[in-house]
Amino acid sequence: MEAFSNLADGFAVSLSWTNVLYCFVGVLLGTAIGVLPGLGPITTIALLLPLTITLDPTTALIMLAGIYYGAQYGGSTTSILINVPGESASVVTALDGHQMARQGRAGVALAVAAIGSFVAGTIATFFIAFFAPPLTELALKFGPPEYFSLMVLGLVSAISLASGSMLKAIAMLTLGLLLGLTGRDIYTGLPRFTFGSVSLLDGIDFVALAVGIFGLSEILRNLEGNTPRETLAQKINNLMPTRKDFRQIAGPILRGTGIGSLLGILPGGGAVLSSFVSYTLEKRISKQPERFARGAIEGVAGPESANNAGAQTSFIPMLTLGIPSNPVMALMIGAFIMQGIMPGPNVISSKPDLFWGLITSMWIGNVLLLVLNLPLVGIWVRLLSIPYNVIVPIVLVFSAVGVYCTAQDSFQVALLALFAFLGYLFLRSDCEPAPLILGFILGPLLEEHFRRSMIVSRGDPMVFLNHPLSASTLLIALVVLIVAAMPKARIKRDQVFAE
Amino acid sequence: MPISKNLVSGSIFLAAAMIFGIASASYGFGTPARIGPGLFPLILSAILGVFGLIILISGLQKDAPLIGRLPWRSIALIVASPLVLVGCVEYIGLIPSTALLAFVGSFASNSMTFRRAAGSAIVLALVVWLIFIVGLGISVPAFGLLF
Repeated sequence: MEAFSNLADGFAVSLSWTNVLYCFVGVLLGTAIGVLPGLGPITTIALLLPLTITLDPTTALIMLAGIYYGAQYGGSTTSILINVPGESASVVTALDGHQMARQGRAGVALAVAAIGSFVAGTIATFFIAFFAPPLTELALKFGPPEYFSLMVLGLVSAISLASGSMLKAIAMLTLGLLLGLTGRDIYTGLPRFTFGSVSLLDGIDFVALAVGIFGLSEILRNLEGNTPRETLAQKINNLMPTRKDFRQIAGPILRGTGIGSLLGILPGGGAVLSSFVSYTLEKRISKQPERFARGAIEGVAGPESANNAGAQTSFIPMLTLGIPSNPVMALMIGAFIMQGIMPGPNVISSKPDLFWGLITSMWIGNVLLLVLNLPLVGIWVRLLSIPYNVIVPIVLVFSAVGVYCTAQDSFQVALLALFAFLGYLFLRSDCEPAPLILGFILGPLLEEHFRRSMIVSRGDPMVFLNHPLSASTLLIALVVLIVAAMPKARIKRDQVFAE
Repeated sequence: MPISKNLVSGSIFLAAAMIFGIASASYGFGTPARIGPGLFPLILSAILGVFGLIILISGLQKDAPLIGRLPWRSIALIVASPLVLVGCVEYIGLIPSTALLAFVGSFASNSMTFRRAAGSAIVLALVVWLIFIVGLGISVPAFGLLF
């Protein structure tokens, strides 16, 4: 089997001392930062991204992927222990996880989350190994119109899945696309939206944008009210699930993995959607649905497996097509570009070491999470009690210095300040930032493929409809948009998010 | 006058649409077969403008949810602290600027004492020096011209 030999080659790369070490450092740092209240995976990755710039590309991406899983696991930890989901994917975990913690089963909830994530991660790694190569083959046949339409579909799905007003999501997305166009035009070299600044010729530094919009604005939100956080002072001693627990979680873990693996590939999908769907499914098929939201162990096992599987398979469209399906993947694409690699179907053949090394490192990352997090749970709990006024200067310093060191330009640090302010105003006026960052990464790609298609077709805009694949993709996008805009679907979606 | 959420976000979107739109108009639209640098951003600006306007108008309704009181002191300090780095880094280098930035930023939280802010400034400057200068070997002047 080719998949197995590819995986074996990958392990040869990811099991090298350096890569295991950086994977470990990534997982550790990711968990540590992800556990801090108010810092979700996106902020964590953006904050720690500057630490990877001097590394070799493979090692850097392995470390970033590690940071991602770590941050996700950190988010689950805060959901379970203090009912503060660090990010939307662990909102569902908080429902039953925190109830379990209140019943004195915090350790078991954490262990189940780790075990579920591990099983899901293992299966998802194989899933990627089998599905990425055929998808790459297909992607190599895509021309500019197909790419354009696929990106439109991705963006439309992202808007439909954003919580809150769809009008605002579209506006945020468009603003992101425009911000992404800043810099020299690829065809004519004309500087656009630089307003005379030399620093902007290469565009807006995306670490500045991401950290400002996601990180610093979140800090401001947390500073609003000095609401005392509910810290669970109890000691966590009993980690081991019982036999009965194991029997109860086996089904949810496998179902969650399946849901996550499939939904992760879809544009706009990924961890968040997967965990919601898994929770709803478990509740629906349960013989005692009334136990849910009262500390049902299935309500932790299912969604946690689903979000980890989804997190992992969302790498597939990013690695094979170069199209991010969610903001985290947008950041990963940003990291690839910073390393001088353009993600897309060519990566697998031109850089097989990087491709398979990264994929196999995901499994190693999951092993490390399992062996690292359960024994270290005590430390993570202690991190939770760090007062917020200590966290504020740390985050500020790492964001500003990080931007300064990646961009080597103080103007971008000034932009960071601007984005922090704008980001906070957006938060206060219920505009979700995720579509903005997706738009920012996709802006230049979308324009490039649009203009290339028009060149290929000699100016005939029907090119997007004459190619069957492009036409059907656009049709799906249209259907998604209409369905999402229908009042009935809006209500249903709001219910899912409100639950 | 009470200000609504949609008035704020709508105005930002509309302002951005105008800035980007006016700039795009001067970049040239090209021909259908060779689209110029201005067309795509102009289309986007138009979309942003339309949506911004709708959001803004909805924010003028009587029952539009209000944005509420903003924590101006924290906002000012969070925005100011990166600017401290911007202003100082060329003269005194990264490490002293980091200390200043951390010191200023610390006061964004309401309960902060002079001693704690100074403490975190020193510790964080040291951490940045260890990670970015010693560890990662990033070539920026650590201690600028004055030292």
